[in-house]
Amino acid sequence: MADSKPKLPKSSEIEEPASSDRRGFLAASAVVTGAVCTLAPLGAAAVFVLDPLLRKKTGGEGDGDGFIKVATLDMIHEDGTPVEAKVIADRQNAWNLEKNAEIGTVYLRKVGENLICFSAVCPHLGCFVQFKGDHYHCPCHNSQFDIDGNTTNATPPRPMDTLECKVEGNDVLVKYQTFLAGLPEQVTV
Amino acid sequence: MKRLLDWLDDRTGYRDLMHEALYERIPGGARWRYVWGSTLVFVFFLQVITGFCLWMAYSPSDHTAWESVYYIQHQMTFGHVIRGVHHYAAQAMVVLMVVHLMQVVIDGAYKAPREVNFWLGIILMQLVLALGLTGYLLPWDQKGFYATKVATNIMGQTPFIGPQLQQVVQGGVEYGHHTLTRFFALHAGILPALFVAFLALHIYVFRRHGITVPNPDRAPEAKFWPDQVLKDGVACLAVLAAILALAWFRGAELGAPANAAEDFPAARPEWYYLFLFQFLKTGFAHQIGEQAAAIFVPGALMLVIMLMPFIAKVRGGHAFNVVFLVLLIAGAIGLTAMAIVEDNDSAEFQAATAQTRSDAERVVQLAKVEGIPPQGARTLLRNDPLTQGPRLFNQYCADCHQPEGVKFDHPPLAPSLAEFGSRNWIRSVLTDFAGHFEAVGNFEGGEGAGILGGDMATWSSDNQMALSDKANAAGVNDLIEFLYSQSGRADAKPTDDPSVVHGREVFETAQLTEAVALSGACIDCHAMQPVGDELQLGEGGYAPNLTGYGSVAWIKRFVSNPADDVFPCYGGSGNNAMPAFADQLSEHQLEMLARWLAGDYHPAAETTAVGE
Repeated sequence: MADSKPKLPKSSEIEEPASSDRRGFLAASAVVTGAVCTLAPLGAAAVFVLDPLLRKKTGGEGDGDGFIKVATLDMIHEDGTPVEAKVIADRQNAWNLEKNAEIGTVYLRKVGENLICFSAVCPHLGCFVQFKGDHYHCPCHNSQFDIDGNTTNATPPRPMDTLECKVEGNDVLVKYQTFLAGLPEQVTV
Repeated sequence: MKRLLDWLDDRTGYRDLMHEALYERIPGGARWRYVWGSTLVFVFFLQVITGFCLWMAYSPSDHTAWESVYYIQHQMTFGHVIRGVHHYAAQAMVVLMVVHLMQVVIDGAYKAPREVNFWLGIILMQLVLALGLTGYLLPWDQKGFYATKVATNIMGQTPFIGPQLQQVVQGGVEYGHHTLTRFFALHAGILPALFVAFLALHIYVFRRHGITVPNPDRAPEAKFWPDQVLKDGVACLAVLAAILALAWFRGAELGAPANAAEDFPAARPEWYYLFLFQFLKTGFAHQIGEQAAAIFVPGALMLVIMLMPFIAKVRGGHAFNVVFLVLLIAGAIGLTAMAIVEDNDSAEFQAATAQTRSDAERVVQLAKVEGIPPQGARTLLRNDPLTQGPRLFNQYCADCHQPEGVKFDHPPLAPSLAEFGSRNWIRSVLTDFAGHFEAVGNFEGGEGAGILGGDMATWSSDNQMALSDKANAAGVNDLIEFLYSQSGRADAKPTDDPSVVHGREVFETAQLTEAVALSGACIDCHAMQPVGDELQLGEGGYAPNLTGYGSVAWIKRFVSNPADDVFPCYGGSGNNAMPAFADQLSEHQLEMLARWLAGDYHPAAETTAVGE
């Protein structure tokens, strides 16, 4: 039975027929057809995958200007010690709208009559910066900042990110934003 | 049977294929040093099997990822073993890959004509590392969440396309459902598919050139089957035993559920990335800049490895390659050791890991007793007084109500609340009011004078003898029982308990025993509506209303505003220096703090020491 196995010629043994216009046309058509069949689904897939870049951004959190109440004036220390405050706002998480989610943390500090607000996100690689008595420290790669947010070692590429803040009545409002990590300047995501 | 197999062979030619696969020539005989490739294929096979199992139980979303992994780990039959094997096999794969690479380089198996196969191997290595990185996030615990955030932020620094690349990988500007669905698609679909494709090419090209034999004359030639297969099999068995032992006895860790709003100071990548992590902390990395250190340097090192087949063509090139690789691996081991030593020496890191471990234990305990709500396990911790209470207390209260054993740079300004509302607390307030509130005397502006010089202080000292006299102990205890029962705590006695009933009499009449009366009745100053009674005792107006004293509602009201009308002396007359927290704490925070102080939560599980 094994002897009756039909021997197929190897592709290299097949004689190439003389080329002709017709053959060239067929080959070109085959390539085009094949390319369309391959690229169309790939293209559709690429568009789908790039959705995060292509989708229209829905409005940000907070009131019309994007300011969110994070604290009251009573909470702010008069002596300039920073206060940690959670930023609570609605968060669109893909298909879920999460009401009153904690979307971030900020440090509020009184300097003279002014209020300064730092994002707790480390400008180095995005970990959570902690306030340690008289300076800020990031536990991931040891970024260090002084109480004014200036860098005090070489790890962070820029000072702590400042956020716009304002006082309305007794409320402290912050325009919460996130910034690209690792850059020497503060660039909004 | 023979006829059936003959028929099958006629239709498929499987015998030729089997022959091709099994009877590969091995000049110089089977050797242990050839087993590494096979062990890698075997571990990949383990990953496919356990991976499919996990897939059947895993649900990638912000509210279900951790939860489904918890269910695998703590509830499903054999779940911890399957997950443990997947966890440790992933690490074994990285180790074996490095060994395989070293063996290939030392034996010169990367040189012509095997360059392409070497490159295929390097691609496979990248795929394994990518599988490890994507897999690390999927349990969606704090550790994986924060470590992967660092990784995607590094990705964001890729020249030109960084921020866009980062968003596409994350599925948006922030981490969320789509980060998980994307990572999962990569981890379980795209990357394994690529891995299989490149593995097939790798093995195909390997067979085309045959095995690289350093000295073919050392032994007679053998065949792959069974000589080498046996050795490979033994090696795989050893690897399997090691993985199973780790999975069984050590198990895969599952931290507390990911929470972007919750600080996580113990963020570290998986151990085989620690050398890169540590490298980013070195002075050299700071000098050349973040982008160079995180992307260009590793890229350049990888490029040198890719170019090894060409370098080998130069005289001394092979030696260079071997030395380069050995130094690279030694450097990586050194940096890894540095990272581990640094963390072991850091009290802060140790405290942070202890905190996450206790959070993780707590959330698992809560998941078991309360069940996980559809919003996910994060809410369990968020709504757990035992988790949130101490954090709020440390932030808002500890400065004045200093807990024992913690050092502060100024004396306490208010009593420690360790036993707040307990029978001991009540006894101490009654019998030694001045001592109990001693700390308020530390106010430099004399704000504590009102409390220490108030009527209650006088009453307490006037009656100290009677209250401390052993002969009156039963009456005092009953009074304490009555007051304690107002808190409604779990161990409080019911209102019809004889001692509570008698305690109420003492409260109303000041008659401690038939013979002994206190200098004034409680209701002379305090108003109270006792539990289960519609009648209010006393007029009040002079001293804090004791309705529900020590209960969650009472604490909430007090913390919200100690100057509330129901606490007249505390507020109205300026006796109390404590600020109002209604504006500083949300309703939810107040609730957590009050319930923690009142002991209203599931008790902590008896922690069994984990042998590590």
